Amino acid sequence: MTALLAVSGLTRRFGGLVAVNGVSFDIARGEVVGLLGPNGSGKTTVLNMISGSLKPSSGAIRLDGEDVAGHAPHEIARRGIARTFQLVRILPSLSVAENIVAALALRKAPLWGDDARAAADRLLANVGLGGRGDERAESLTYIDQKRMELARALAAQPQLLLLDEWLAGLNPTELRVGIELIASLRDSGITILLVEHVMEAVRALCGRCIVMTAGTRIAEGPTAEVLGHPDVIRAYLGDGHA
Amino acid sequence: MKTAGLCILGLLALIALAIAPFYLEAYGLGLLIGLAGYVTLATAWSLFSGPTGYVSLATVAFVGIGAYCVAVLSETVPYPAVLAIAAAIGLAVALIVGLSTLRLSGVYFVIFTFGLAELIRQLVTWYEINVTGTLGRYIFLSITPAQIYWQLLALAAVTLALTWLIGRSRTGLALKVIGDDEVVASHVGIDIARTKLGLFAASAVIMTLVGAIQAPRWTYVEPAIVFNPTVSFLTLIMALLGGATRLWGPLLGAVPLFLLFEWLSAHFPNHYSILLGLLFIVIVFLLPKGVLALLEQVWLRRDRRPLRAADNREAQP
Repeated sequence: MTALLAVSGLTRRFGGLVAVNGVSFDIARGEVVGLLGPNGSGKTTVLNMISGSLKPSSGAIRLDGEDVAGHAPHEIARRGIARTFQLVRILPSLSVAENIVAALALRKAPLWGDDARAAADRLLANVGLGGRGDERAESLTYIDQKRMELARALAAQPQLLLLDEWLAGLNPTELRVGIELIASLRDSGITILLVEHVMEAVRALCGRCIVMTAGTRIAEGPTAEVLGHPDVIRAYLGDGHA
Repeated sequence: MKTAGLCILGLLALIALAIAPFYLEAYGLGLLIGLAGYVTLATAWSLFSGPTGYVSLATVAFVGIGAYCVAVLSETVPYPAVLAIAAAIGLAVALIVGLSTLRLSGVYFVIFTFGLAELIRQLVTWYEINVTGTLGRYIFLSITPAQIYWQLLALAAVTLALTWLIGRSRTGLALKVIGDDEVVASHVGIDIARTKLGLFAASAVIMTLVGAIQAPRWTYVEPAIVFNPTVSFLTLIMALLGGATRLWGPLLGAVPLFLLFEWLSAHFPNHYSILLGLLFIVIVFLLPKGVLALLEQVWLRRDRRPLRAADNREAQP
């Protein structure tokens, strides 16, 4: 089994602050892996380096064996990494369908015209926005904007999907729907790395977890094991609970 | 069907404009030349600045380069070759400037482009004084005003067609995405720097050609004339008035403003600059997104009103 994503010694400094310090992990094709840790532990920074929005200070990020560390985001996107953002990012001047067509038209094997529109409608139906392609992206509710953002990420036909707190801010009903949606992606065979605080979702979705605190990896392994690890409990709840 | 109808309408308008010189006096033709020039400039300006939101004041830098190419080369090189050389030089300057400045954003880019026009003007002045020893140049070309007009008209049509084609292409969508959110743009695989550079270069080449085509009309050129920053400001304000993100916006802004400026400069020659400044302020305050966007808003509001009334009725059984 070769790793789809192999991160080794990944480090990022902001001036004197080491936000991510020598983090290494592998993700196999088809896996859903959770990246956990308290606020400020460097999870999003790791995601940003994988997607190319931040250049690593040092370390390697291999996608399918090729080092992509420090490449521009558009190059990494074209190699098959797509993502959603912690604060949902829609394209407000476009319609819902155009938001998806943008990703379809600019990916490596582009679709355009009627084909793109049909594919966009299919993707929207998959995330539960069937028939709503002509609405303005701005007028969607928060969860629907998140769905749309997910459809846009999927439109790129990624090898690896990065979800940055995609389930944050949802109410209990929406959360259940959201978890089912990601579970259906997992079942379709997409490899996913997700940063998440909602433990219910992590338990339901992730076979394996990586836990970070203060920029370093403190635990890695099967989800149940990792969540019971004394270091992890200490990181989240403090010494008294470990 | 609708597109075909519009195409025929556009073609008819183009033919009507093309035969206009046969029915006009010199003054009318002069007006049309100015109009065609500014419509082309404003449309070319919007080609780059509309979708990207980069406000460029380099328009006159390229116009001036075009005019100077003609002034320097017209006696030794055949006219079509002069135009080609001018376009090539405009392209080269645009690529160099674009590569070094498109990473700048907002006000820095504005200042840089303004500075660029001044820099080129000062360089040309320095060169003319110290190397050739004479500041002004004469252009003696046997090109009639009608011929100038036809060239500009063709260039205007090509510029509009180019804008239309780009708007319908994948590049056009990429530009909208860049305009909305550059982070998303790069993450869906758009090479932002290359896209912007390509547009900036296309826009600059067109501007250079406008300068080159109009040059024979001036007969006498010197840096202060062909690098006059007012040209950049006029282009900018015309595009903003009409709406820089629409295909017909710059044209709709350029036609009335050019006529107004003509009228003002004829009737109030001493107060022209003051009135111009006031007009700029009024347009930016009242119509920040352009006339077309305003009309669209009014239209949408009228469209929505009956809808909302229907909603209310449903809500109260």
